Amino acid sequence: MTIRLLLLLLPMALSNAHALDVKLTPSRDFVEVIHQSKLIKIQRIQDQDHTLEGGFAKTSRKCPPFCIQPMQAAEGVKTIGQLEIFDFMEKELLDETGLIIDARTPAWWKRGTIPGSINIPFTVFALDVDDPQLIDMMHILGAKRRGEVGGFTRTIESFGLMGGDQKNDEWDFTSAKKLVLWCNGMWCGQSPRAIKGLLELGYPADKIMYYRGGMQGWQSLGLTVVVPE
Amino acid sequence: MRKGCLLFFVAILLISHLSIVAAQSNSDYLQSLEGEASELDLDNKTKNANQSSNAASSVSKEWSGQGGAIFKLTPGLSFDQFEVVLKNNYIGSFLFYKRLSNSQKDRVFKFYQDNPDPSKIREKILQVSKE
Repeated sequence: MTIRLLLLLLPMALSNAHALDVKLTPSRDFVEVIHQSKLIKIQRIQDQDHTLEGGFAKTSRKCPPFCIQPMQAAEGVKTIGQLEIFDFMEKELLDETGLIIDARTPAWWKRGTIPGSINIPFTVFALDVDDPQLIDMMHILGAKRRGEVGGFTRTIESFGLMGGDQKNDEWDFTSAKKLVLWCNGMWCGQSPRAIKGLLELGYPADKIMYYRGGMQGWQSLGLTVVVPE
Repeated sequence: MRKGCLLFFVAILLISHLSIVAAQSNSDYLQSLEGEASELDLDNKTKNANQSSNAASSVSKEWSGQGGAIFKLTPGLSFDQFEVVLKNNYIGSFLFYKRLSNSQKDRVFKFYQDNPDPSKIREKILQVSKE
């Protein structure tokens, strides 16, 4: 009888052994995302005695330039947290209608990034509109550089016709992807600068989201990071 | 006339001064960023978690123990082989696929048996996942 009971309970015990104690949410253990053609599982550190180490345990940096950022990066741009990023990874990122952008300079990116992110430094969005690097990056975001646009066409577009609300003299944002931009966290101005640069180029604000927690917020929750190859 | 010239000259000087100041402040900011980044070290435990979650490489190991990897959705694969090849080569589609119910997975597999064309299988996965 005891052996039978043990045999009955064993599979349950084994399945519980695989359950995580530190989940993302009560119903979510992890999120999977593709990063540089590899499947990465994003989960939290399971050691409940662990305290944050490394550069993101640091509380104070000289301000300026490392000043506390406002909650909203710009008008019309939504600020989001980790859970919204997980949803974004499973929806927009997966069906290729969205991108997660690490807007930090390459020196930061090389040290480690949020899985699923691509690196477009904020400096790119301040380049001249004809700069090939900017055109390439905007192409990745789904925005197209427009050729010569006639005055008549622009007049019609200015009334919101012919998709005019998604176009300006320089760019066509009709197929522009939804973006999540992030940098080091609440004290970092790199992604807010990138967002302002994008808005100046005419990128629709409703297609941009700002993850203010950044790498500091990510690390403080013990979430997985990847070191780019 | 002279006054006008003087004002114009002062305005030019002011504009060039402001642009120099802006460029200098940008360059100072970039310098500060580089300085901070050079000292940066990430928490080792988050990095370790990442290393153990490389599904793509673990799949390759599974196959090496079974007489070599299969990289294409060739006709005649078993259900398990089909899933592993999907995972190895079409990660995006696989992520959609793995969320399907067992009966939906069966439907995709049956579709593959009749149409072993990767692009059609990917379309089928998307179609089933939207139901």
